[in-house]
Amino acid sequence: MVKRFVIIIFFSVQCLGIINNLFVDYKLYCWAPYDQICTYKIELYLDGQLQTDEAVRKRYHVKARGRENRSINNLFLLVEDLENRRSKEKVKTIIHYAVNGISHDKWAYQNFTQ
Amino acid sequence: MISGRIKISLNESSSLELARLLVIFLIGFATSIVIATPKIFVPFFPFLETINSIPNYQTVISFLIIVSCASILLGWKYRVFSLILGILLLTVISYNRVQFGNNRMLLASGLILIGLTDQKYFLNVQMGIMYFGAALNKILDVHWINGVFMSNFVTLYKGSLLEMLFNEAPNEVYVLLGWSTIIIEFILAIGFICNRRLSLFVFIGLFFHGGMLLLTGGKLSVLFLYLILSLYLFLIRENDFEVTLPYSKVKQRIFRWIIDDKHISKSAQPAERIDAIVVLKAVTLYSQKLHLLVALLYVSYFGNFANNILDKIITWLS
Repeated sequence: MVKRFVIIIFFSVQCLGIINNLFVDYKLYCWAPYDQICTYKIELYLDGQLQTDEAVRKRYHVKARGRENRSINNLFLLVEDLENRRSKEKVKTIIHYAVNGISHDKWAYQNFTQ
Repeated sequence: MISGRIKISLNESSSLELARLLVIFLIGFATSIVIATPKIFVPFFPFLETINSIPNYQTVISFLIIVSCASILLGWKYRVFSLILGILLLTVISYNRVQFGNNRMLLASGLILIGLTDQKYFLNVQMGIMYFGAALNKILDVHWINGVFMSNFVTLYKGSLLEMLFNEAPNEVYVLLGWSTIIIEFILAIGFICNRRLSLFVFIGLFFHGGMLLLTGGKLSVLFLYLILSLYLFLIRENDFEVTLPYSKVKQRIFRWIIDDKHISKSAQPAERIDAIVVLKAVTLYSQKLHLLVALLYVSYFGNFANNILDKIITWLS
């Protein structure tokens, strides 16, 4: 009986994740595979110096030029949360992206005022 | 020769088999979780912050994951360790954002359900929720409805059948492709949750996932297909069957070596007459499992190899 209750809770949480996804920009815990193909390029500046692609990969654990298959907002969220937790230097990150081959745009994070 | 009927229940062994297939996937294709790399802590949920205060928490979790994997592979308390492993994986996915992915989510969910229940229906529901979530996400995305997603998608896999067949097609074709995907996912969601004519829905699912793999030249979702095949196999497996057999000590020994006594129902125990049919059936069953495992590993490991062959055929044809 307890196990059955736990299973029902487990499934309910998943359904809540799916519903929650309807009201937020990112797509997490909602079983969304390959819903948005976003190509991106990350530019990272540490203390004003442009970093290499390898430095970007080491810092964010994703490729500097790559593809995000669920939502580009997942990548923004990752960069923002990682930087908010760790940054000691002046960081500026610019992500150039295109959603499904169109809507070319850029997103920026910086932890200092100019 | 005296014949008798014997009932064989494979419920336990098929759950264990699924747990083992999932562990093989974890070790082979999600190794970074097992060895806790990259060592970053960016939780999705604030309550997970407490984990960060545990000294050497990544080493501890990694150790527990390895112990759980070993126990499941050895078949020792595999339900308990499936539950533990599933919860650990969900925890890692939730505090280490780089590890997040649907493959890993499905892996963790499958293990948790194996740990909690021996009823297959709950795994059906899990599959149904997964397909429902995927379909709902797509139907609410305007790019899926107006063909923009598909017109971009077909250009991603250079030299693939997908590109050959659909590149520069009229927009109506992209709209149709988008809607077809959404409808198939909704059908699969309803089919798995309603639990009727499961083999038909498994066939549709195999056609759907296999088709994607073929169209993209083995590049899309090869790992996901491994997981799906493992779950499909479990869902359509006959758990109980009865056979009639004459007596032979040698065959009986072979039979008992192949199928553990605990899988033979107690009411049928007096029928200890074993014949070639049951031995054959048991051997077939086990070799099927073996073949499937090999096929799964083949598909997963050699997806790129198959893709290269396909590329050569396409080049030769064009």
